[in-house]
Amino acid sequence: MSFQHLPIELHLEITSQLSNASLAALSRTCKDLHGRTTPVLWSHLQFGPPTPQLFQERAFPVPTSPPYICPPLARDGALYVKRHMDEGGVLAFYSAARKGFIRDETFALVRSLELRSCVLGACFASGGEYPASAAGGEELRHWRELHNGGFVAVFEELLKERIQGLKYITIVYDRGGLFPATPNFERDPTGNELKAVQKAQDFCRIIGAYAAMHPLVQVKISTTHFALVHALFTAHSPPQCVTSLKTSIYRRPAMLETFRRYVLPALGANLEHLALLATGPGSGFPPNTIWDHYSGAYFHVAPGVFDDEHFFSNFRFEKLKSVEYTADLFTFAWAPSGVQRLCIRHSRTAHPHWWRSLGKHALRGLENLEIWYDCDSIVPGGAQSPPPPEDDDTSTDFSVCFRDLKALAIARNPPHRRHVVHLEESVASVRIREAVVRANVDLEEVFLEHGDVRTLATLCSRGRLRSLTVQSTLHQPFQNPEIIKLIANLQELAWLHICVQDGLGTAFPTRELLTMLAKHCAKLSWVVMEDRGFAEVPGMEEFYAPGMLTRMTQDQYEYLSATCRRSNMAQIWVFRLDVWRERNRYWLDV
Amino acid sequence: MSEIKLLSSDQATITVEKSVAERSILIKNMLEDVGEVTEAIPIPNVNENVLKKVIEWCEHHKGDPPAQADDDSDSRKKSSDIDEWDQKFMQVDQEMLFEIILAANYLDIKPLLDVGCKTVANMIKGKSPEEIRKTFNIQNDFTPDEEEQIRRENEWAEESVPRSQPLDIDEAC
Repeated sequence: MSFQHLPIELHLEITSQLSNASLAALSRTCKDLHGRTTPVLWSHLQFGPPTPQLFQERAFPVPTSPPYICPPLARDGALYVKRHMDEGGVLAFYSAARKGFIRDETFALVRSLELRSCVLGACFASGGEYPASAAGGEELRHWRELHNGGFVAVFEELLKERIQGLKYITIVYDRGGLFPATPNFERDPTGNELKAVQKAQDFCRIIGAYAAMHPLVQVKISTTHFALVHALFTAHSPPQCVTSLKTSIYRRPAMLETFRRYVLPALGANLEHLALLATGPGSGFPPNTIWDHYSGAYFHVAPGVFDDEHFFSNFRFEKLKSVEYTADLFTFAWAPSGVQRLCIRHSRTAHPHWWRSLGKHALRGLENLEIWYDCDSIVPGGAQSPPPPEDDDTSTDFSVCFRDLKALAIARNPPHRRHVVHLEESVASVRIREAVVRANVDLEEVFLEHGDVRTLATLCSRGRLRSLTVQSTLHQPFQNPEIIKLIANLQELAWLHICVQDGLGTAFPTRELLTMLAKHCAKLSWVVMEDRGFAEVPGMEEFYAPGMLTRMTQDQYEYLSATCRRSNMAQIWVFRLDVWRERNRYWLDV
Repeated sequence: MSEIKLLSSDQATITVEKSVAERSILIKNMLEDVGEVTEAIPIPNVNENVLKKVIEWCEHHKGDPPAQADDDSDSRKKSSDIDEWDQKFMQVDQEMLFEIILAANYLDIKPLLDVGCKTVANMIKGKSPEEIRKTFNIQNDFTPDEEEQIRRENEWAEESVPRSQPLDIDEAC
């Protein structure tokens, strides 16, 4: 047996772990391997690198069934497979296409195209740097063409005549990624951003026209610029198969009219994921894009007055699985029936009237409910803040709205960072959390800002929890004797993430808690903690014994929910419960 | 502790703990279908030496959580890292390495298949075509023109070349 003679499915297993560079090298070794490797290499062309903070968001660790969390291994060197082109790659591709080096049969292998910010806007991160190979002759000319947006015409020709087997097109355009220091046009005196958007719009028009003619080609778009959505849908006839749309939207009549007239009717049949977000903190878009300046003037968005029922009720979304929107812009009067995931982002704490509106809907298929709020953010539009949440004793019955939730999040995003005293949790917030937990007996993954004893007691008594995160130390539930006792029920628990210290107090796990976890939660290999103050805990010296407390590795980080991902990874720690369990096996009697 | 017997393609009978053998989804399903077996289960595609190696791996990993049938996650595929024990386990000649991969595929032992494929992928990473040919003893059957055509076609996929000094694009234009 030799490498060339492995069955083709095993070659696919191996090549799926190789970068473009390795695939290219492998394809040049011999004819047989060229025939097997080239379809893999050319199946997906990604122009531009991924932007993880924005687009690899994941609300919960892993959506599969237990045991879904790997034990922590020494995987500091975990690498991603590089399957995208950086700008040198884009230039090489463009140059080869212009010179006619790429054969039609090779182009015919392309199944998926992903166009990201740099190539869409012809705006490359390196600015004036250029590949050394482009020092003279045609390459330099091609490099200049690229910077002037010359790819648009070449791309149009490729789509029209040469790329014949396409099935997927993804467009990702993120203003923040390209112009991090220039949050709006007014502060960009060179007008580069405006030019970049215009070029991106040209791309979107071409893709829109292509997708209109090829109804089976699936299109996904994620952009901070509604102008690109406008271009995609209004080029000729709209694309027939848009499966994912994530965009910013505002209460501007012209924008809404465009959305209603051109975009919504085309979305109904095939849309699976819809995200309508006001940009800004907590929205999933970059924090420096709270204002929309496409019109060239400041435009303040008034919150909470968007009549979503009137807006959406005429359209049937037959395949819609996931909906995400900014609550400040909507009334909650519309909630799509049949969705599996509903994600609501808003400023301030959960407002009772939103919950009451939500509670009126029957969302029987809903499995994931995520409510992310940001108390520190400027309210989108900034002109007027909504009234602060009032305490409300009215109990909401969620057993009609949703009762089959598997995953629930009610938490701040981004998490509380400052060392100031917490505000007391409102009565309404406590009641809502308790009511949702009570109405959903099958919850497996729970991410809470505040986990008080009563809520956690309810969750622990059922024993179905696989993942639990409590972000605030306000109620210190993990130091409560009742909870420590009930933890024994959580035999499926494979993920525990607790805030350790946040200015109000500490929630370091006690020896009693660790004992219960080690004895009864056999699937739990580590406890994830955020050591925000690097505080030391008296009596827990062994906590700091060598090998017990380690920095989170890349692989573990990948399992960490999006809300806790941040640049200062050094502050996230993993307590090796598996090691502690092993070291204390004798007296733990496990 | 219940045991079962496996019969390799070269007619060797190997006795193995049932829970170890059940790391193979093929054997696990077979045992579930037929119930108790006293006779040796034939494994016609795997010879004794390879079967022993596979069993050695299964014994070491018998306490691991079982792989999910639908475990096709990106993280599983993307990580190039291999557990230290597995790395040593895979330090075998190429013939044996590919036989282990084939056996893992046949016996449906996804984690072992994964480790085997990662090992081979790691043998390819960062190498030039000539180095890959040398590693796997591959004969180059391209003409120079054919190889040049492929090189030019796939140049975009190769690692970035070093960059020159910054150039003012407006100036260059």
